[in-house]
Amino acid sequence: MKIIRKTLTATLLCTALLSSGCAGDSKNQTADTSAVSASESTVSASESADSSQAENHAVTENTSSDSQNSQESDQSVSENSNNETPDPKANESESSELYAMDTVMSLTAYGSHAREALDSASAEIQRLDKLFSISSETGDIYRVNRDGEGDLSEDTRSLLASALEYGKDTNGIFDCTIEPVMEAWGFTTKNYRIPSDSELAELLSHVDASTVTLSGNHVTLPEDVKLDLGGIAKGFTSARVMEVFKNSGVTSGIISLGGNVQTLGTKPDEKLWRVGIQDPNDLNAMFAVVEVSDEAVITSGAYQRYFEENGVHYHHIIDPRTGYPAESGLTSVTIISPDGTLADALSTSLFIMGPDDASAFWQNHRDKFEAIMMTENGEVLVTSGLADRCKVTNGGKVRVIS
Amino acid sequence: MRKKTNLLITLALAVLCIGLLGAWMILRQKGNSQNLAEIVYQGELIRTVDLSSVKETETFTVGEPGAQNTIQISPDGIGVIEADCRDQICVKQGIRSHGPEPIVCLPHKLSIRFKDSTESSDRSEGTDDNQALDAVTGR
Repeated sequence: MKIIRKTLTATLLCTALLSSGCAGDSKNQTADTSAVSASESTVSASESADSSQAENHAVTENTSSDSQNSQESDQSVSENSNNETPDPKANESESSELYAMDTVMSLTAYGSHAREALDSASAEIQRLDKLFSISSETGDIYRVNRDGEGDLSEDTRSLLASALEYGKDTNGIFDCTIEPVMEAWGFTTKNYRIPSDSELAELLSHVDASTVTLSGNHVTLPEDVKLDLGGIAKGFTSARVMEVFKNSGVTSGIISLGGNVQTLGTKPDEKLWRVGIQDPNDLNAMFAVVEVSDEAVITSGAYQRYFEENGVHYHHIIDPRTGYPAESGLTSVTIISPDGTLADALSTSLFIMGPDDASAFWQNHRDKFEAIMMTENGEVLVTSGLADRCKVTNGGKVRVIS
Repeated sequence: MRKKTNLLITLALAVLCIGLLGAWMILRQKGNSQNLAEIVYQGELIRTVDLSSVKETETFTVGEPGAQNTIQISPDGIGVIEADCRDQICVKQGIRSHGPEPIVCLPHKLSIRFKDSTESSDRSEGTDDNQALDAVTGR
């Protein structure tokens, strides 16, 4: 009987483990079975902060009827707000792929108005790309950097105002004048090199967003100070695409602007959108899945753009306090927020802050966003607002911040 | 007699346990069931490849010299093995057979996307817990 009891116990334990889902998965299993594979980010210099490729535009159009036959989810669903006559094409999606802001973007919208929404969104993305690019001669930022001052269009003014606000909120950690330092490292030109300490010190003397004056729609820059809104432009753009979708009558859609994901509503079957987060330690896998509606999911990671010299890894998230790539103890920071612009700015900022300051920052702004962070030793930090809709899949240690 | 019964029960439970483990592993493997690769060049879908039926290695070029990628299809997957673009990012992405994110050559506007032939949406991908992923962040 003793043997039977032992065997029964072992069997029950085994069954329990099998039914526990991802929480107990080993890393190898995740790597083997995850559908996430290496992308551009697996290699150095995968992206340029320079949104200079406004002309690079190609659109792929796909139409599909999404049967949404995935398994039952126990998630609560948010309500789709339309109470009008049901859209006969509510479950049909259309997708576009385009190249802008020096990355590939994929847009998907559902319903009868999907195609016109995608066309309008593509046009808007290209317009904003030209406006915000540091190298587009017809754009606001190029002109202001050249002249040291100038009037801005409403979109650029709004984006710059947000950038300056986030600069204040983060005590200067988010700095939209960091461009000369980024250029010195070669992250905007792809001519990678390690600047000397003296060169960085000289450049840092011109890095201070608090010296930028924005009065109405007129901006004035001190001498040698340059603006670059690349660290926030994609988040702003994704938020704008959501507005375009809504104005076109679309209530369900998802876009990825080079990995910056933003969602509109829920899926047509009212389930939440499922967004995977790439594992910085295994670029063929993801380490978490988060379920969202009407939110942006934006990640900054040390693995996204970098170069190596003499065996040392230099990544593109520069700490404006030192001029060097941030060594904060974090390898990935994902921000989830209804505000795409905020999510874009804060993913970078919290990465630079490091786990302790980032956690404290969230505690002071918990009504604005949620976060998932991975530390250098593989621990995953999840803010408490995500506890019921985030699944850590790599089997690593998880700590909930509350 | 009792010993024999015990042994039989132990064996039966062990078989049940192994069976459950096997079923679980098969279910999880379904996360990688993407078998189609779509090659999109300059905005046009130029070819769809059923990777599960590839028996021999095939190599072909897309574009003209100066804006050209050499694509290889093999039983191991698909990838860009040569390109005359400046950054070579597409080549460094290697040969792959699945994934929610495409292989991309930005300068040449070439992308290779993976999808499951049983899925009707090109953005839904299998995941480790066998539910559809709608997107991936962190690239």
